[in-house]
Amino acid sequence: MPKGNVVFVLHAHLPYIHHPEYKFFLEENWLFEAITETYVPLLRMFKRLEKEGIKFNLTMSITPPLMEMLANKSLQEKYINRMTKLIELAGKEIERTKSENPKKHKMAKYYYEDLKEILYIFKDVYNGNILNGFKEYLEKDRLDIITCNATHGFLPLMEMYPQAIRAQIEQGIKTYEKHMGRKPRGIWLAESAYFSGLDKYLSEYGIEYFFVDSHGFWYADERPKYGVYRPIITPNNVFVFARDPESSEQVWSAEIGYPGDGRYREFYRDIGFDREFEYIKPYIDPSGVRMNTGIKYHKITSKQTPQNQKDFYDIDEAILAAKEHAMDFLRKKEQQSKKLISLFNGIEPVIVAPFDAELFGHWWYEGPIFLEEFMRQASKSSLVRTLKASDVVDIVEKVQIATPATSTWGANGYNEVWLNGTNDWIYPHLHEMVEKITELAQKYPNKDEVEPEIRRALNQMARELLLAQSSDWAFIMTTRTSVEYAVNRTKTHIKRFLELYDMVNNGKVDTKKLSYYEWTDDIFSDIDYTMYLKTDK
Amino acid sequence: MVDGNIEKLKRWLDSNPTIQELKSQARILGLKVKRMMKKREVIKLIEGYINQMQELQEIQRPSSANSANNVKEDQEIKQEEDIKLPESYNKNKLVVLPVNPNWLHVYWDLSDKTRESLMNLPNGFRIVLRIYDVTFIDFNGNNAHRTFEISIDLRTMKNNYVNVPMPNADYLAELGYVSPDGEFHPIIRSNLCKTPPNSPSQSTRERWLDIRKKRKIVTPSDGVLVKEVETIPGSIFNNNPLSKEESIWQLFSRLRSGRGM
Repeated sequence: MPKGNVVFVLHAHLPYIHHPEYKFFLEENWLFEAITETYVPLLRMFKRLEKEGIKFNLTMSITPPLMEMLANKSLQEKYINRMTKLIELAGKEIERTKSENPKKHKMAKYYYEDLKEILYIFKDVYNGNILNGFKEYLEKDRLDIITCNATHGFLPLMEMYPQAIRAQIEQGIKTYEKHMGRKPRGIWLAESAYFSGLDKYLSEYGIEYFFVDSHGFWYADERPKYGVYRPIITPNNVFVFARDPESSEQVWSAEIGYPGDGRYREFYRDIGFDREFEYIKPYIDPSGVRMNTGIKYHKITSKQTPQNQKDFYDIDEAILAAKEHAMDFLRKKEQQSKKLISLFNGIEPVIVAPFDAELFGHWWYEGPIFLEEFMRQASKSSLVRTLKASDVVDIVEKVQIATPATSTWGANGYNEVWLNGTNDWIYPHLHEMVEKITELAQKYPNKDEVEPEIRRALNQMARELLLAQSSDWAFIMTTRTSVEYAVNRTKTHIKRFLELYDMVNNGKVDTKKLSYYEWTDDIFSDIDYTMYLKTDK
Repeated sequence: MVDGNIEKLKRWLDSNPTIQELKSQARILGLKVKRMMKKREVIKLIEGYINQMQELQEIQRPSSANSANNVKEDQEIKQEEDIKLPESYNKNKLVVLPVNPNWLHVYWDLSDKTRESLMNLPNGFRIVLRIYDVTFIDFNGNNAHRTFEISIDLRTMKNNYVNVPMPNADYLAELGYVSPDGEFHPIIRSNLCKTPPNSPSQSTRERWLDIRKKRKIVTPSDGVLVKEVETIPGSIFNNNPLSKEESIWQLFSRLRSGRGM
């Protein structure tokens, strides 16, 4: 009996945010929150399913900046410090909530135990580097970990610079190999952004498959017979999967998606904002800026309920909701599969459901429970099975050849989230940086013959360029929230790059400055500026 | 700008500052201070600002970029503030980027020499950007399918958004001037830019790869099996849904909704 194949893809990504020059830096918390709410809960889910002997299959991209942050000793220490403080706060909350409300008190005890367990997993099980956890399940073949282009740079807007595209791909692969000890088979292109011709570069680097949004298939140069429900292969021999719009909407949509259920935890009510200042002060930004702690006592209740009238959250009620939703999702996938199998005359459909990993746990607190329950129930289904993208590549016998259409997973499907009036000012600089580093790479083509200080400066220029290219900064500018950090980061990398350019050109390297930049923008220790020599089309 | 300075600002406001201090603080905050304003009015102005910022804070994650008293280790080189980037790289450059199937973004840079000569054109000369549709053409300067021009003011503009008629087409731009006799004199030519397609292909063939036999098969297409019903969202930039009332995750899900939802 043919079955429907469900390929779950979690795209785990955060921009590289490391500020060793500060003991405390707010944006580093993006990583810490994601570790606590998403990455460790995923590992915990793998372990539980494994113990129960349940077969699960997941595809996960862990981007190079995220890998570099997770492997970074100083960030690991900062995380442990942060968690130690949070556990202290959670302990106080147990006392505090005793007289407030039984539901709050129940949650306070829950958080205390949960945070302790997460820190234990982080510190004692994985010795501070949870990448080892993901690697373990990669080796057990439950998880298909893929890479991403180096700093999540938006490739369609680099199209005229092949060397910039190659550098993004090459560094992405190198970083994956460094942390995973093997070559990646697939890639998640930043923002799922593909332009016609990009497959050539992927094939140069031995990438076997990537993903596009649905309309990448719908508008392909030749129409895929099975729509988005079978992979295609490009003329350059790279497999492509397309997103199933139904799955996305069921899970991801802000309007009708599961995460909006009233029983789920309300993201925007946090004791970091609700408790009185003197009490909460030791657990927020030392400058007095209030921030999320992760301890939250309210449920969504309804989307219309104002923040100050939300009901109290109950974890057991929420777990029940997540299990219901997992069953509902499975039923929907089974129905969809049945329909597609009969339409395809028995050919098995491949339903691809990609999401930002951080949706599960960070934005949608119960997301990991949903996923775990889905995997548990799906393993018993007679109509669907879960597969990894690499499994599909390994078993497909006949595949349609086509070139997907230029597309992204951004609003309206093209480039406008990353190129509009709020962020277009960055591109003249980013392009100029590519030209300048190419010019210097051509001037110093043999890195072994270059004075060490010049070589260091050139390598640092490559780091600053890659960091400036992260699509996150343009994305944040479009959201018009927390814009200042994104603008400042972009400008800082451009400025540092231009300073280093002048130093190299003048033959006088300010080693103090250079060392400082190497210390603060410390991504990709193995970087090699000569990758910008690869210009030929 | 949402930050811990708000708490500080509140405390400062309580410390009964003078009218001069109040006015200068209001200016620093970017508020419009009128000369005749009374102390009470300036305080009101600043309080309004505080309220607005606190509202914003509800939905925003605060940023360290502007938290004043961050615990800094002793470092001789500090975080730069207010970084000035070059206005020009003194190069003649014209770049066309695709925004979506119907819009191009064009930006330019000019060398000092070019800029000077263009700025000093005699009366009757116009600076224009010319767009060419060169789909399937080996462009020789005057064999484009269609072309149109946009007048440019080099003193105020560094880029432009251009509406183009055809998706899935190749475009080129040239920056130059039109002399009084109506002739166009190009100075810089851009890269080639392809707009994305936004409708299914007209192709009537299918190519298949038999992986086991390593054989390619080409057949006429007998149509697609899945009839996709596409929902086309309205432009996110038209009705300005990116308001501050919208929570960040709703915003994320909207911005990452692609075209398929």
